[in-house]
Amino acid sequence: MLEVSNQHIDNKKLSDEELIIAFQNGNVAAFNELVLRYKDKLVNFLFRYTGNRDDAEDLAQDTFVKLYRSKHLYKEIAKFSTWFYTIAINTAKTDSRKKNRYNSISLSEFDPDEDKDYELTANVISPEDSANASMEHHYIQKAIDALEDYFKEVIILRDIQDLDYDEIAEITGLPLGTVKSRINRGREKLKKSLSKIYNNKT
Amino acid sequence: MQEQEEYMEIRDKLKNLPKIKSDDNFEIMLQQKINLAEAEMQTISEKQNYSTDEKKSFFKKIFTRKTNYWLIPALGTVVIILIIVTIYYPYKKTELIPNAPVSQTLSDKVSDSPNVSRQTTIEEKKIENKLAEKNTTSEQSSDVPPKDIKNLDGYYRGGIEKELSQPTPVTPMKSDELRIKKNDDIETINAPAIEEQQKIESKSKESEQKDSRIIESKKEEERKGGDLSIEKSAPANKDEVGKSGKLKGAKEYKKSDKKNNRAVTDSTKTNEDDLEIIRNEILEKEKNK
Repeated sequence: MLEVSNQHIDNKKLSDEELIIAFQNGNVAAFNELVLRYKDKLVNFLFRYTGNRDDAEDLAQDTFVKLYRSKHLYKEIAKFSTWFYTIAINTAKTDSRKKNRYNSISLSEFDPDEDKDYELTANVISPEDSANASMEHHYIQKAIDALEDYFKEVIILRDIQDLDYDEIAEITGLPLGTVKSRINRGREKLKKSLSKIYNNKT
Repeated sequence: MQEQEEYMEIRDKLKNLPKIKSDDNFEIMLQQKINLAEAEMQTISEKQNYSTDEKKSFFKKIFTRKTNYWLIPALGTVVIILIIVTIYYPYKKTELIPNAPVSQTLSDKVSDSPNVSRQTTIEEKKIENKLAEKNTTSEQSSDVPPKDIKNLDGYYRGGIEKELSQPTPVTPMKSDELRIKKNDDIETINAPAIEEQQKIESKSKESEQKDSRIIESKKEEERKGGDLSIEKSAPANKDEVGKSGKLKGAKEYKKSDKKNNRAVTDSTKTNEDDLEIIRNEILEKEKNK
C-alpha cells in the first residue's frame, strides 16, 4: 500500500508528457493520474461542443479509451494536451456526423412539389441542464450551438479552454492566421446571435 | 488590441461560463469501457495468433526433421510418379500410334467382314492408294533379290540388272481389294498396287522371254560352231528342264545352279561381268572335259 501511495504521489509530481511515457512503459497508475487531471476539462470542452452533458460524458470516456488503446502512438514531439484534445475533437466530430445522419428529417416526403430538403437537427436541451444553468448561460450555449463547427471548436479552445493560438493551430491542423481569423469571425457571429437572442428576450 | 477590446465582453461571458464537472460514476464507467476494449483486443489477438499457429504447425508437420522426416523421400517418389504418369505415358502413346499398322487395320476391317457390306468413301480410296504407292516405292528401293526360283533363273540368264532395276513383285492381298456397294450389288475393285504388280509381272515375263530368245540364239550359234552342246547350258526354266527330261549334264546343272545362287547374292556385280563369268565357266568346263 505504501508503494502504491508513494507511486501516486510521484505521479502527481510528473508532467503530462512524463505520465504518458510512464503509461507507455506499463505504468497504469500514470494513466489514472492523466484521467484525474483531464476528465473535468474534457467533459467541459465536450459539453460546450455538443451542448449535451450525457453525450459529453460518453465522448470523454471514449476519448480516454482511445488514449488507453493507442498510447504507443504518442511521441514526445508534441504536447500531451494538444494530442489529447485532437483525439477528443475527432471523436466529437465523428459522433456528431453519425447523429446528424439519424436525426435529420426529410420534409420533401410531406410536400412532393418541393425538391429541396430541409434538414432539422434534433438537439434538445434536457430539463436538467436548463435547470442547472442560468438563463444567460443557457442562451450563450444556444448561441455556441448555432455556430458552424469550424468556428465552434476554435472559440471553445481559445475562450473557454484557454489554449494558445499555436496549440489550437496544432490541434485543428490549420495555419496560425486561419485560426486567428476564424476565432474573430466566430466571436463576431456569436455577438450577433447573442444580441438577437437578447433583443427577442426584451 | 482594439479587436480584443471589441470582443472583450463576449470573451468574459465565455470565460465566466460554469465549468462542467464529470460525474462521480465517470471513472467506473470508463473502467467498464476499458475492460470491454481489452476483451475485444484479446479476441482479435487470439484470432491472429490462432491463424499464425495453424500455419506454423502445418509447415512444421511437413518439413520438420523430428516429426516426419520420412515424408521427404515419400514426397519425392510421389512427384516422380506424377511426372512419369503425366509426361512419359502420353509421349509413349504418341510414339506408338504412327508405328501401328494402319493399312492393315483399315483395309482388314473392310476385307475381313465380307458379310457386312461397307461403303468406301473417296477419302478411304485415296488413303489406300497412298499406302499402296508407299509399299511399291519402298520395295523398289530395296535391293533384295526375289526368292522364287523362276526369278533366279532369270538372274542366271543374264537379266540380273533388269531384275534389280525392276520392282520386286508384291503378292496381292485381300486387303488391297475394296468392296463398294452400289445399288445393293457388291463390286470389288483392285487396288492400284495389284495393277502395278501385274504390270511388273508382265515385264518380268517379257524379260524372261527375251533372255530365252538370247540363249536360244546363242545355242544356235554354238551349234553352228560345233563346240558347245545343249547339255552344258542351263535351261531357261526348271519347267523346261522337266519337259525336256533327259538332259545328260543334270549334276553339272545343279552345280551351276548353286553358283548362280552365289552370283545372285553378289548383287553389286554388273550384268556384263556376270555374262563374262558365265562364259568363262562354260569354257573351262568344256576344256576340262
